[in-house]
Amino acid sequence: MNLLGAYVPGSSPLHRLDPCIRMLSFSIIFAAIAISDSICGYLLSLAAVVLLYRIAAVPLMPSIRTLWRFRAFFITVFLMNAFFQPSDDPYLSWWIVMFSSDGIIMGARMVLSVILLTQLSSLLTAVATPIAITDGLRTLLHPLSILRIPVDEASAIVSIAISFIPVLAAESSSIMLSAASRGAVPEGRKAKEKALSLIPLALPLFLSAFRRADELAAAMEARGYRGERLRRRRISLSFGGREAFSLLLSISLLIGAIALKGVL
Amino acid sequence: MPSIAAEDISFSYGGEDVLSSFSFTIPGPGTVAVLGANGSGKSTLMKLIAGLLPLRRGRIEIDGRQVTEDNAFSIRRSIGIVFQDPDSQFVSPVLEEDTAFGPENYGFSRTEVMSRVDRSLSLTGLQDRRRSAPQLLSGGEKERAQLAGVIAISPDILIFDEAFSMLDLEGQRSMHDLVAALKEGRIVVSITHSAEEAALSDRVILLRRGRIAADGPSEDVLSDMDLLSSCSIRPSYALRLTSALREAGIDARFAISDDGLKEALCSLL
Amino acid sequence: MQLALKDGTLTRDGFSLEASISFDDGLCVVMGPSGAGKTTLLSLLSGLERMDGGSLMLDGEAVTGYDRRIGIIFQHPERQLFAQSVFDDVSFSLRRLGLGREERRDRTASALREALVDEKLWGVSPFALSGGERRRAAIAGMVVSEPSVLLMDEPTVGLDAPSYGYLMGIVERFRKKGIVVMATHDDEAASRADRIVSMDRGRIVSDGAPVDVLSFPGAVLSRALGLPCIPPVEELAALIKGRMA
Repeated sequence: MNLLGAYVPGSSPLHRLDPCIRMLSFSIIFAAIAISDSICGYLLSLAAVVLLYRIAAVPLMPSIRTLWRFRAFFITVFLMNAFFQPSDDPYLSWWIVMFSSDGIIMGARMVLSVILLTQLSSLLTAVATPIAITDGLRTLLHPLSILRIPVDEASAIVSIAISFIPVLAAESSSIMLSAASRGAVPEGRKAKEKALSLIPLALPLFLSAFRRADELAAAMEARGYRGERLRRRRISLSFGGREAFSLLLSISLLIGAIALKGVL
Repeated sequence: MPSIAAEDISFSYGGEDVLSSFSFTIPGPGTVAVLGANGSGKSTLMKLIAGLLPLRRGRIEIDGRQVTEDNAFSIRRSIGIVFQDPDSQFVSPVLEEDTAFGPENYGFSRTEVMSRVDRSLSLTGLQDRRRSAPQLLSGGEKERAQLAGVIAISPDILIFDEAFSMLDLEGQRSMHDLVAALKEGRIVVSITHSAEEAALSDRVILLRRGRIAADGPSEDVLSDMDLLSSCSIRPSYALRLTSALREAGIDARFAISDDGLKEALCSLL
Repeated sequence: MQLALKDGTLTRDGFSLEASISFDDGLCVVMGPSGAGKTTLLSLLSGLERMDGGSLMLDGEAVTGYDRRIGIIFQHPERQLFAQSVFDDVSFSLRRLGLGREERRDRTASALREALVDEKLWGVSPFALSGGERRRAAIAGMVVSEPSVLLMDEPTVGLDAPSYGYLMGIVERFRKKGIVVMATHDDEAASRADRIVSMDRGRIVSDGAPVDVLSFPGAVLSRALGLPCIPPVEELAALIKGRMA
């Protein structure tokens, strides 16, 4: 299952990239996607994402299946933009509803950006272990620590949170079975009833997350963890052909996205 | 020479006494079981020894040094803990990266870390799984993976916190063999609620509601049925069978483990 | 009662299970190494886990989703507690049975008494109970609805002596009036079964009598004595004495 946070073992060039350069390259591509605003721009980014999945030998279908499960969300976002985006030249206009081509384009842009960004994030967590992500983020954001920002701790928090996602997902399915076996089904017509009926599911899951966090903290401390700062970084920055190529690719993509701005 | 000494320790939580005025010493290498039911205080005791909980009353000495908040970190290097639920322990989806976590925390050089990882993985028989995800290993392999991460720091005190309770027979057997191989020159403490598991240690410290109910050779402590019941511990099958034989008039030796049972029965025939 | 799983298949994350098996009244124990699929099999038998293929029938009727006649207790049942009071949590599964409030109250009370949970604790939060009490309260929360089919996944792990006694009491009570299927690696608990099913790598590999399948001393001795089943410790001692005379 290509859930965000699920690592897919492998030895592809993406797996072997230096953590810092990998993080930097991915960040540049994230920026490229965020900047894109034209169909050509998105197509370019889409091609890049698909290519990266190929290089990493990580299957794309599972992530797409996950996206499909959220189709209601995407459809809603699209429709909200299509029907409520202020425009000078709407097709239809009534009260606050404004159906226009601007809205349609805006909606499409939002949905495409979110899809591309999530696919890229899933890929990152598929090729980089949480520790590698921490190392990459720490090194990359190190300059910010001059501003007294706790870069090391923040990086560790992000990667540990990400690594918990598949664990909690698995646990949630067993908690749901457990609750279902006692007849707990989300029910009730009013929103409040429906929310309350989710407590047998939500509460145990929260408690489980806290319990696991507690246990992980104890285990890490017992193994000598005293914070990121005192950890020797695993791999000192290595910069070879792979890294150069990766930066080249991502910067080209960014330039391409900027160049294609405004082009439909 | 590893040693553990606890003097007059107490611990309260939420106004309740979890441990009341406790003392014991483990003066040298050996296997000790801390046996107790839920709520007897055994987990709290383990956390105090390991420095995971702050000690407010009494003193604990590890390897002759008193544990204080300042030196807790360096003393912790001598102690390796294998916890009960392996799914919450792993810090990486790649086994060799997880095993390297401990040595990295202590600032060893890259080459030193790698050689420790190699040694741990071969000791625990997981060399060919080094690139696998520890979370996807079988139950027994997961415990071994945890152990690998722990021994990579070369502790001379090993604590197993109910580590075998979730394993099947096969897993338990392989873990016991592994521990037998590792116990040379080390103190191995097994925290457990199972009399059968405690029987594998030479000495048993039996807890009841925060106090020591008995402390002695496992042969003695674990063959006292009344004592075990008063501490809410189920006597082992071997003990119950040999007791039943004695009640039926047969002069069988009290046995506390399956091996002991075999001997007792053989000597009858 | 009869619970029949026919050609049940489930594939998930690289693990695949294929099983056909039926159960009659009594206790059936499922054993096997971890990862063999015991939990998955139990989930399928509860009707709550959707199968990729196959069918589940209870007394000839298909089971689809929640069925009040089937109850399942997963590992670490105390992790499912959520209500404001122990009493509320235990009575939770009674809501959908269409019982009157009086009857719900009585059933919950007797389930809690059987679980050796002191009446003083019934009104407190389930999280204020001790570990053993919490486990027993969670089990009580499932058996209070008196299901005809009781499925249990490794219920003996981490049980102290009083809880073990309670659990075995439940098993004995339910096996007499319905189907009990228990996954465990506690040989002694398994020795009480009418039948032991072994699993490995997602398949059922054997189905036999405890005395033939188990390897703990009680089983070895029973085999040596030529017994058809494994008796409790006292009886076994008496039989050994008889044989020695």
